[in-house]
Amino acid sequence: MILRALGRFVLQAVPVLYIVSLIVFVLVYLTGDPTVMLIPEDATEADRLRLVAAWGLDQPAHVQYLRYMGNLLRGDFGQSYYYGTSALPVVLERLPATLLLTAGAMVVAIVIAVPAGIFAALRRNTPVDFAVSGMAVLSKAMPNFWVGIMLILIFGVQLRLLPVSGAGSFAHLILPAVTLGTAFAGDLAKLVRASLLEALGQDYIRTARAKGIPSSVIVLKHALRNAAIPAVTMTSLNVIALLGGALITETVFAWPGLGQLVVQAIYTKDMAVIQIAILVITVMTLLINFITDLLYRLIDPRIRL
Amino acid sequence: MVYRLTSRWNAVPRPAESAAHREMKMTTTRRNVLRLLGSSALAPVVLSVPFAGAALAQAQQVLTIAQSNDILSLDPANHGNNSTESALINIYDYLVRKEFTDGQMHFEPNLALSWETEDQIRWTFDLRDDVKWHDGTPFTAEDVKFTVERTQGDSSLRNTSKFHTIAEVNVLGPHRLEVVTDGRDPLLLHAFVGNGSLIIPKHAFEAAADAEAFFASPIGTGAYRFGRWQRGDRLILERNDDWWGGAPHWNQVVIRGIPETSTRVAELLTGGADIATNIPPEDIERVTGNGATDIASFNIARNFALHVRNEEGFVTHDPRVREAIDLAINREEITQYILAGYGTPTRGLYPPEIPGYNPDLSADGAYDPDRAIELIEEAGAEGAEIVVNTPSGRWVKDREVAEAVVGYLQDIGLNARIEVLDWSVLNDRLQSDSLAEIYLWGMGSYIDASHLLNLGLLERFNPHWTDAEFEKLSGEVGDAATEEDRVAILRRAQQIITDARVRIGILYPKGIYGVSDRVVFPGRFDEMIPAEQVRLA
Repeated sequence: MILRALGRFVLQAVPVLYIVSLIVFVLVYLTGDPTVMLIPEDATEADRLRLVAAWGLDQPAHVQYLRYMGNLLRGDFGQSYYYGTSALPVVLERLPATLLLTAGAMVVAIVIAVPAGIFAALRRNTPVDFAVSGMAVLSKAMPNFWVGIMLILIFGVQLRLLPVSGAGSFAHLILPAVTLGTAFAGDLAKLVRASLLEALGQDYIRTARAKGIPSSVIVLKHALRNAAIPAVTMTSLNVIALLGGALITETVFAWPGLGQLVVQAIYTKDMAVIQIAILVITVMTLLINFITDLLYRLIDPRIRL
Repeated sequence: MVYRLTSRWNAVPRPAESAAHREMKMTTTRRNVLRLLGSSALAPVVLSVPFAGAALAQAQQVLTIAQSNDILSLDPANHGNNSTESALINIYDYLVRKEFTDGQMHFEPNLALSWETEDQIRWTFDLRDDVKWHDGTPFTAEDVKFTVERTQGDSSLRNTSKFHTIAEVNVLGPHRLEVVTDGRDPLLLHAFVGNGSLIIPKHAFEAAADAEAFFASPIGTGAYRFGRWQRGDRLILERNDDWWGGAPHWNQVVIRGIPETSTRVAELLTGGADIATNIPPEDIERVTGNGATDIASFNIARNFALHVRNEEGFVTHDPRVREAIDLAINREEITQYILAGYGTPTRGLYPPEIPGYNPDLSADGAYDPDRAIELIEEAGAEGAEIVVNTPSGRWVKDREVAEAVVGYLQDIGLNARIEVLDWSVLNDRLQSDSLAEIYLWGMGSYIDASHLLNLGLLERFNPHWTDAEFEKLSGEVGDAATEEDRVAILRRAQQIITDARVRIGILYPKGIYGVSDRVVFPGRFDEMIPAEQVRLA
């Protein structure tokens, strides 16, 4: 069954990747000539045209595209105009930081949101429930930029407990992960609460209670399992969004992730970097979707892959 | 004409250590020690006074610089970026050095001990014979020849035109070199300093599989060896004990790219950085009020100017309108209130440190709104629509300066408005000649006022303006008999273009760095930060 799902994943991935690469090429091509952004300030038009010719940008679009695809099939992902080096390592070396930040943010979100959501559902319409809902709204209302800077000022500047920015150690991960994680935790807590309430109202829960099964077992084993599918869906969507880069948080914390790289590449029309980054993000999106499907199956065996 | 200079590397004087400085050292380094301990699982076991003392000493010998831009490349010939160059000058060396003392630029020996030319066409350089690459191989004239020819020969490099006036490089001996230019070039020495000029090793570059392989772990002759580079985060350099200039002052130099200003300032305030570049005026109080950090402000090679369209179809085609714009702007007010005084109001295009600058283009008496209103009325341009294009955040307070300009233009009866453009869009529209009547530009990184007479460059920034005398001066400047004649030509050229008001100078912004009290660094006109010029306080 897994093999069949894997086969379907590969069959889906190939055309998706091809279409995405074509779309990215057309869009970047339409934004114009990258040399405009990359020449030194004291360069003349002649200097610029020399670069245009050297980089093959004077060729018609279809020639550039065919050359690009030809190189791609030979495993050559092209050169980054901006960094003046092979584009593939430029993108791949950002992946660990992005994956780490995504994982960190998800851990923070899940650790906060799942207990809070369960607690709010079990104490429905009590001050606890209202407090959780209030915090959820607040976490959504506070922009990442502001939260990030506040965390820096409190934990970095005033208390001097954590590094202000950069990457390289567990301590560096804490503030950006909390910034991103808390933003998502609000939504997730609300969803867990709502899904759990819905599950707790189902007939099988009433039956379980009638059979005298302890309340904790009913909630954690039966209700939560059925309430998990929407939460898994939302989490996977957030993971996908974060893998594409959390630009603002990365910028605030000088975190060397994909978000900063992609935006910089778009600014400078760095075609090869954009192409590879988007392809990598697409592959990861497909993978996350695949893993999510597997999780669905794990949670609810009735779901067929 | 013979140039022969032999002075040694200039050391920044080390001031007496104050009690406040000593206190700051403890404050900032305590955190570093905690970091060191935190990184070790055995920290509690090994915690001891001698260890803490050693860690403190080691942490003090690490210099951390927080720049506002990421480092793009370790290839000196393939970037167009000051932050990158500022990092690379610690790994590689220039043939000659440019220093700025008493407001004047002058060249000093570096890899070249001395140089001479009789005709400004054939230049002979005597090189140091005590220089070694980081792998121990001696540096020779072949390396200089290789660097020049590699840059000239690879048209895909962004600085490929750096040595465009050089016709040939002849090796006269292991440490003697002749450079022949394709005509008189009084500015040749400038080609050997700045972006694209750092000397790379022939033997190591040729031994590497390709340029990418070499620059993955490059070697130079500089005071610091390449250590590790995490793109988008930091470049780590280690001291080179065999440096020809003597023992380097720092064990390690860490150069970080932190684009977000508040984060950069926070790193400075918490001791995470010793120097933070490009501090905006609104953050100066935070830095000076901290008790452990201060501001270094200094003149830099940059000017803000309005570039005004002069072709038909635009209201600014009328010279009276352009003159009115010039007279309408209160430069003193802009400098004082927007830049908090960290700038110099001017009508000029090149600051005084730049050879050939024109001292007559001061801002004194340049503000005359009454006359500006008269000119607008004479031109019948009351209520005429004028759009001012500007980027936002590219240069210090650029958008705010443009907003102030718009206000002044409204005061003299023009219907002015601002159009803020993303930096890439601004460049696209500059390239496609589709910007509005006026655009604000912070021109910089020039080395000489002859930059203005580069007609190719003029065409890029003022594509519709021509002037017969200006073009004649452009042809004559290279053949000026003496430096005085050359300067006279350059000054006249600036006068012509500012009188035509196709470029209206506004101000010279200052460089503003935040500097920890732990170190001493006054800032440099070229905005470079050589680690060897930063000293412990």
